[in-house]
Amino acid sequence: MRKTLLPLVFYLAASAALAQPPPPGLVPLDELNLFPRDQLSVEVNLAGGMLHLIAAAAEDDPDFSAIVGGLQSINVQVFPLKGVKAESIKPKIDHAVQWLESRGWKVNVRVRDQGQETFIYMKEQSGKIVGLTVLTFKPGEEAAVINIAGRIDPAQIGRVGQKLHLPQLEKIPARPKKPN
Amino acid sequence: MNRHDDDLKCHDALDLLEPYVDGDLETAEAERLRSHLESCRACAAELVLAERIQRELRALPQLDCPPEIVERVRREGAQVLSFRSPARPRGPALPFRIAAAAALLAVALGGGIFFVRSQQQPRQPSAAEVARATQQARYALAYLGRVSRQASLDVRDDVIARRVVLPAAQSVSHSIGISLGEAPEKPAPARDEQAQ
Amino acid sequence: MLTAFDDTAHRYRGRVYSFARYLLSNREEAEDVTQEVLLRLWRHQDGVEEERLGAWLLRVTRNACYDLLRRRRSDATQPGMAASLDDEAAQELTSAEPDPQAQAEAADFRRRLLSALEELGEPYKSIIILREVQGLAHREIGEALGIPEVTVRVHLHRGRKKLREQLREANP
Repeated sequence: MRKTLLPLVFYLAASAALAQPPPPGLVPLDELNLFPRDQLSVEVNLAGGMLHLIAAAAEDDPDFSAIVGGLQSINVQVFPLKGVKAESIKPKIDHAVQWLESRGWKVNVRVRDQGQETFIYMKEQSGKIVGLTVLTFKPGEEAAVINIAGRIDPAQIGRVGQKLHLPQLEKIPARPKKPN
Repeated sequence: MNRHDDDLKCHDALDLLEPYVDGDLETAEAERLRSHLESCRACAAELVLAERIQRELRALPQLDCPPEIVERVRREGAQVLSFRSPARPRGPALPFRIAAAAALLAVALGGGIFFVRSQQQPRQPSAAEVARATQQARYALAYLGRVSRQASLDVRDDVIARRVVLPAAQSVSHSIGISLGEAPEKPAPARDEQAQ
Repeated sequence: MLTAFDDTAHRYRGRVYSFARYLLSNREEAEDVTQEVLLRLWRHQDGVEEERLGAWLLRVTRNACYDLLRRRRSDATQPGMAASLDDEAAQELTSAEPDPQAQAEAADFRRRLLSALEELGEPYKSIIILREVQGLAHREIGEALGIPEVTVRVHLHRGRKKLREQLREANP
């Protein structure tokens, strides 16, 4: 009986999960339509299940594992700006800023420096940070948007992030695979 | 022969064929084109080709999506839960309890169909896929770290007039202050007038 | 439990699949893209306004197809993909021509048309598929591609002109 019930429970629980709303801190980057996706230099799309696997596999780095284990999604788009007119991207950044602010995101830091702009937005729910979005734009170099959603401890992310060096990524975006 | 002089060159007429087919030309321009087509066989033949292309495109079928695609999406979605479930430390969450209750009910009512469908196990990502995803997650955090470092430099340098730092709502400004590591204890003064 | 998702998925899956199919000229890849797009729909449906859902889905579909086409370009070892021609669309059409010779000519024209469409650059290809094959309004296409309606019309005309030039050159 127990053997029969267990898959049932998992099936129905899976169905329940399908009906769950997306994480409140998630920003659908497709909806923002910031950069032409065929020209991105880096694209990362990681969601809940894979993040738990990453956390489990990173036992040798407890800080990293703890951060990733608490996240529900990581999405990154990096767009190279070499040879691209800054004016063509700037309105899109402005649009993204409007999009975020109209949906309850609060700007935390806004830096403008010699053409470079960086925005750090956070989303709170019940007094906890549930989303972090960074928009950064440096003419002649690159523009990027990073969104992480889930249980976020900015202090921990800041500490760990500053220890890490930017690894070289394959210039191929992640995407879901068809199950066999 | 023509109601208007044929003052249109073939080169220009060929540019107008598709707008003409779509009815997007102004009346006078359409009339000029018609006059030209009456006296130019080559361009008239091009119009026939333009019309045929549109007709053939519109006759192309809407290709049907195989119904199993939606099923695949459900299975892929179910994968999320199967990864999530071990992470729950304190007993089952509400959806899980509801699902369990529903499962009991389903068994009581003879829910064979549920059992058959539950046999479709989601595919587990390979070690290589997890390793690649790990690299991507590290990249994302490293990028966040780099931006934080740059932002923190600007926070300290906020006395420079060209640089603008707007501290956010009080509730979260403390958090980012910590996240920036080297940020000053006091938030930088807001300069709204320069921000927009 | 899945009613909202099912409803949306059933409403749009044909449009998504058909768009991907004509953009990619490849059945398996179009299925992959449709799956990916529906997954994104499931993840993001609450973040997308109902009235913009159709445009959003088409945009996501187009982006996903771009990803695949880019991979095709970078993976030169993938056999026969770049040169593949989607014959199925041509085969699914039954010719109205009674004469076998005219039928053969019509089939040949259609094949050349699909081949020219496959080779057509963006945004012409997307716009022609969405307008002529799928019958969307200029406004809907503009929303999906993020361009003004008037630009849609201009690109549509230019795209069909390019097809005409291709077909004329192939059969002068």
